[in-house]
Amino acid sequence: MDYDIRAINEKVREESAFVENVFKELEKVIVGQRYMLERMFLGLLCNGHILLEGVPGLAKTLSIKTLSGIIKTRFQRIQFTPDLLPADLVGTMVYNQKDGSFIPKKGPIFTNIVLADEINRAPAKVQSALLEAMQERQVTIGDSTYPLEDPFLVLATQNPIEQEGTYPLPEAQVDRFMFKVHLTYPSKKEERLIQDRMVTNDHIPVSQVISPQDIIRARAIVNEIYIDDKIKDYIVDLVFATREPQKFGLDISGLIEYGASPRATIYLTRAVKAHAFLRRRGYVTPEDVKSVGMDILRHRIIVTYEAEAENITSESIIHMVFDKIEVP
Amino acid sequence: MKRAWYHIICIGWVLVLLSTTVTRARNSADSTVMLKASIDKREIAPLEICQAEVTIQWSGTFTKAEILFPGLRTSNNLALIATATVSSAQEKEGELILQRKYTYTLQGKDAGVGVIEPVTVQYALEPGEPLKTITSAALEITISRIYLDFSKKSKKIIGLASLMILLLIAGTPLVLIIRIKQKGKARLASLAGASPSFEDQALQLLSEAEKYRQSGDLREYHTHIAATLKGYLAKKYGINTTGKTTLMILDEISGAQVDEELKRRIDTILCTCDRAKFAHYEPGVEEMDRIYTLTRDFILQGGQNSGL
Repeated sequence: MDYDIRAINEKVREESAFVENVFKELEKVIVGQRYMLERMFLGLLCNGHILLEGVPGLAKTLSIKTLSGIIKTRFQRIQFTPDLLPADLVGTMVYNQKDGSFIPKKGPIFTNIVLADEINRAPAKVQSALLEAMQERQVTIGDSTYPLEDPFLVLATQNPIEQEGTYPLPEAQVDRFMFKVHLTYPSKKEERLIQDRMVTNDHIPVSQVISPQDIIRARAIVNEIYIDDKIKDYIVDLVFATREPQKFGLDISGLIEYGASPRATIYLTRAVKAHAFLRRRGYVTPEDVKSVGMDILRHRIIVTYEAEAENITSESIIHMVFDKIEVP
Repeated sequence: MKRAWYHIICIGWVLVLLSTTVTRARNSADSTVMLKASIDKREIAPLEICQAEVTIQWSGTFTKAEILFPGLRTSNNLALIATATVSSAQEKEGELILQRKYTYTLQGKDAGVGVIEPVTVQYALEPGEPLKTITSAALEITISRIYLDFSKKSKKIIGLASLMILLLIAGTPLVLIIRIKQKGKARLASLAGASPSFEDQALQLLSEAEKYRQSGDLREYHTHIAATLKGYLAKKYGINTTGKTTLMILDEISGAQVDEELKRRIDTILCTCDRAKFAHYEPGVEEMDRIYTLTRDFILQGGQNSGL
């Protein structure tokens, strides 16, 4: 396959011009958290969902609300609670007294951006309903199936510190999230800026700088971004190293219960292209793989009890893999 | 000047007289005693053989005659190998002349002077007459320090020895040259064995990139250059470049307080190589030359600097 890299580069440069405007608008409201904002935007570009994990008060909800404000899209927030039902999420059939028929009542999931706040507080049946919608991008209510709008992005949050009374997501369902992003506290300088900006409690207005069509067009360009065979091999090596570490000279086989699935390879390949788009490049470099690799792989590696006992996390295993596999 | 010639002539005669001493004693017209001591060589080398002869000749009638022969005085210098005595008689003008000849075969030992003591003959012609004495001169033989035997056999040996000396003289520089060359080779071999410097290794690897360029495989050419530079950075500065991207390497070098110019060079090289590797970017000839030169100069400069 012949690639005109120069042409792709030019195209990417033109079409990604809005990226800076998006982040400029986002940063009007959100101080720091550039890492999280980029991942959210990558999710939009890759058509993948994001699981945000962080302590309360790190601007998770605010970020998503701001993002939906910048894109001319609809946004819904669903607070997951233990008494939530699937119908509260996807909708249900409602009886019409006028003609005695059942008409579909669409749930809040029929939107462009869904914030599933504290997803691990709802029981498994609600989680399943959401995750099915995420995967199929359609919802069945009664006899009818309704496709979800494009773009459709689910941003779920979960709190890592309060585990009592929660329903942890099963591994198979976590795997459906493209990214699992760990949020950290802002720096001192950022904290000072947050203090200045948010103390007034005034709403900070943001401009709608892109449309859903821009996102869909950008996705098409992301697909065109050139990824060299060397990078593809590198990605496959990384994923395989989590499954058969000893073949790559890694002595960590006793720490990994299950390695990354082929979905990791697919998502990582998609994500690196989107990351190259964010960097306004028409080709992928190993930098892109390194940048997004952790967020793609961390929830796809199941560590053993021995590893847990030694406080070895999937992140530390991924670091070992990244250090060992030779960058092309 | 005239006196000098006079002395030389005198000394010459003395030497001649010393070599052959004839002592004649004539007590009367009828009875004669003659004593003669001689030596065939005045100077010999150690182990060399010489012969000394003492001849006593007499005629007439003697009532008493006695030969005193003390022999050799310095046995450290001369060794007596054999002695022979020959007695003879001959008639000359109606007179009977008796002769006894002692032949001593001597061999030189240590360097020095060997002396054959004078031979003394005591005799009396008439009964009651006091003894008359005649004495030969002492014979001195010098035993030289170096033995040079110029006999036919020795000539062959000397010729052979000379040839060997000539060969030795001529061969010495030749052997020295060969030895120096061998030492040079050994040094090179030892240098080769004692692992060349990081710079040498890197430059050797870098030169191998040329074959990719000649075959038109520009991607592999740039891949090779980048790999060479990364390998060099890893060995020289202990940076783990295996799992690191270009940006990560640059970050690490920045942490090591690298000179900005050097950092810019690494940046240029690795970024250009990345574009060639991952984006099918084909730099022009000038840019390729520049990248090669930048890499080579960086490695050479690294050899001069102790660290980043």
